[in-house]
Amino acid sequence: MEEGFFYLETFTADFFRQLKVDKIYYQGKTEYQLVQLFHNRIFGKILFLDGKIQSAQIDEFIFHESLVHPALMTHVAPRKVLIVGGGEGATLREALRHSAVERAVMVDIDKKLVELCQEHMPEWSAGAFSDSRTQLIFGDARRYMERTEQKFDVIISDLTEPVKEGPSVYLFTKDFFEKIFNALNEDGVFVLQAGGTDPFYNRFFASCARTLEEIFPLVRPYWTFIFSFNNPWGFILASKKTDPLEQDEKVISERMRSRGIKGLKFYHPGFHQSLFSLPVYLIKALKKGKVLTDKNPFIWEA
Amino acid sequence: MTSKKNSSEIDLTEIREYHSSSGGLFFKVKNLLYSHRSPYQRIEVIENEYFGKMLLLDGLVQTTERDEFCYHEMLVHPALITHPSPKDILIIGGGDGAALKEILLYPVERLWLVEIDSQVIEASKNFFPWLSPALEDGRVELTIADGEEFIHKINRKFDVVLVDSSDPVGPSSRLHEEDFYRDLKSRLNPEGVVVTQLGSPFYHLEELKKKSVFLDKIFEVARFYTGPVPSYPGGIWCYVYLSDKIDPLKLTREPPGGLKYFNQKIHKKAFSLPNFLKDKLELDEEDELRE
Repeated sequence: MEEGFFYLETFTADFFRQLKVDKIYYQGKTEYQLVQLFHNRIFGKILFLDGKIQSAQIDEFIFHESLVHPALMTHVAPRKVLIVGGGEGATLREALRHSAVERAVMVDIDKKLVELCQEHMPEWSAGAFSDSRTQLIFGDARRYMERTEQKFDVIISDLTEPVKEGPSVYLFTKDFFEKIFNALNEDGVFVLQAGGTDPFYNRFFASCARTLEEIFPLVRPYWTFIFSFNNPWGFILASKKTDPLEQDEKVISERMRSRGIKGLKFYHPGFHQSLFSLPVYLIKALKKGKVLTDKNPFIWEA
Repeated sequence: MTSKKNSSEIDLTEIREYHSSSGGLFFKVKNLLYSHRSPYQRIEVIENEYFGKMLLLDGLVQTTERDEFCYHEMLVHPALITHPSPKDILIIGGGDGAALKEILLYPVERLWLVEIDSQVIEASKNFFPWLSPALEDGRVELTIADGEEFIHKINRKFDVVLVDSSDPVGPSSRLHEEDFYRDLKSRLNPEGVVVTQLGSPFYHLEELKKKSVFLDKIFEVARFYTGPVPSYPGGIWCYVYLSDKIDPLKLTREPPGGLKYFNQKIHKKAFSLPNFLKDKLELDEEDELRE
């Protein structure tokens, strides 16, 4: 092992990861969170928010393709897309790949973070912030949802986990999900990143799914693996009308072709349905999810 | 961010598993239960609050009490639910006995466990509850031998062979080479299936690519699949299913009850690879024509 600076990441009190820091791009607090952005030889640029990994250059495509394409491919014609959070700009980048998208609104509370991402990790947004279809709004997603009169075809939640006193605690509750539901067109689709799905830490995932079931007729949890998280990761697709499991390989191939999508590194038509296949332990865990409300939100404990 | 002086030596408070000079996983040691140097490798059993008892060989995590099912269910069940009638089974390596316990859930007739290091068996008997009862099963024959030599000497053929080896450093290095797979094939019944663990599709991707090239030449069917293992580097592990006759996606029986990870949908999902792995590991028709 080499000498040098290392970042020690706490998965649990008894399980850690150490990453060698070749270069620090930024380390400091914004108004909302602790931002740590550095370079590691294996993972490339890595962003941590409040001590939790957000994305790494080498495999951010896995997270962002997994988050965006299942939902956009489930919708027959996603013209208006809303992204809640997504500071790095990679979620926006993936959404804008769909030529069907006419307008993409991104609402992030942390202007400083978005500016840091644009400055230090432009590979993530790859020009998405300057796309003429993009509208970037800095503000609290909760207030935006309360005030907007716009309706969307797809809403994507790309938020940090609800750490104590962090900015996301009230963005994973039934009260907030109702506002999402109301801002969706009648065939609208909602998707969110919902935390880890390993055999031990999956209560957040299960509770988000349980909460969405209170509101949406179709709730389809799915997962994939993300090397840089050292963990299988969960997402939940909640739909008003269209079932993602009914979109077969042929339908998705055709949509990819007509929307001009090429060059994905992770998602493909034959992969879509298999994303939704869950292991035995997760099927069991989902039955134990609790309904999250503003009075009883989920608080993430490391 | 902190500056740390590092040492790859074990101490009593922490196990540090480095996957490259750029980082690694640390496991806090609640108790150091066993520490021994066998003729082949360093063997440690520790207790960790999160993963329970953990077996390490040469400092690398092999098995943990709490997440071993992720690895062993994916090593065993894909072969056992697709082979038409798995009767004679061979495990090479697997001295912790966890693959053995999964196979014994099926009505197999004979099961050989060939482990090179008797001290891995002894340590596992002491600390993992599943090994001793499995070894007492009348169908099981334990042989302490080098896997490659065993294959050369044994005068019989197998329906399913599982290579549950450690990584290609130390005593297992030969089990990762082309000649070994050619020898293995000669010990297979016509409908035989081999499954072997291939390491991390992230940290070991280039080695995986090399293996895919020679495995494709040796076997008609060489299909890669994946499954998560939280205590392994990168959290996801790669396996390969090898056969001349059997289609891994055609199920011949249901998996046994009581599994914690594996089910039929997971079986199909495991073989469905994302683009970047497909591109790397699956030869397309053009590649095959070129050969």
